[in-house]
Amino acid sequence: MSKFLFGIIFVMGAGLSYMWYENQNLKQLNIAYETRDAQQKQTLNKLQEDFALQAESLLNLQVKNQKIQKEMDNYLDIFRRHNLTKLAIAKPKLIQTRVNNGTKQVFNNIEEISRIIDSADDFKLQSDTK
Amino acid sequence: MTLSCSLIPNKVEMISSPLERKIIHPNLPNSLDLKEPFWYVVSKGNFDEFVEEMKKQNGTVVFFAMSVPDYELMSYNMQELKRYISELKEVVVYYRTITEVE
Repeated sequence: MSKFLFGIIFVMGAGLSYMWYENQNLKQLNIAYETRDAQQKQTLNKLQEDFALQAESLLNLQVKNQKIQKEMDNYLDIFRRHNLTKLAIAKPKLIQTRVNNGTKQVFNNIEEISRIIDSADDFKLQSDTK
Repeated sequence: MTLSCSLIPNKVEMISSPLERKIIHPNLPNSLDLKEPFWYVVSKGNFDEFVEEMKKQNGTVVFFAMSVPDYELMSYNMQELKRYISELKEVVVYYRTITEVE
């Protein structure tokens, strides 16, 4: 009888030990899966944020490019609306002043655009030091 | 057995964070410093006056001439360059925005 009881206790002990090790393994697996899940969620969120930023920036880029194109069209429309040859024959001094002012304006605009590009570094440096 | 093997497992804390890319932006080119040419508009009415002006300036009559349609072409080219620089500037801003580390 005692041998039988000892046998049952031994089998139960072995079973419990096996289940305890299995439980430990499952816990470790669970931690690993939770970590992977968290990493994937984090990566997905980052990708979504990046995509949203890119989409917004691309939209801004398109809007600005349209504005730039419109400015150019407006400027060139002056030549379509006026006959410069006739005007130059009739009022050379007036056209000369306007042509030189126009050149000065275009050059100033181009210089201004290049200054904005150049100062982008300064903005970055200022924000870094803050 | 109870002394050597603890029944309470050690809590393992795992923290992960995405690796931030560090992009070094190159220095942008210096701004433009353009010199403006002077345009003379010359017709039959002021041609002699213009020739006299050239003689005063250069000691002789010599100049580069351009027809009105060619002047219009030059203006168009300048506007194209301005458009290209402006659009390229926006592309630079775009790349700087999306690669900027928060």
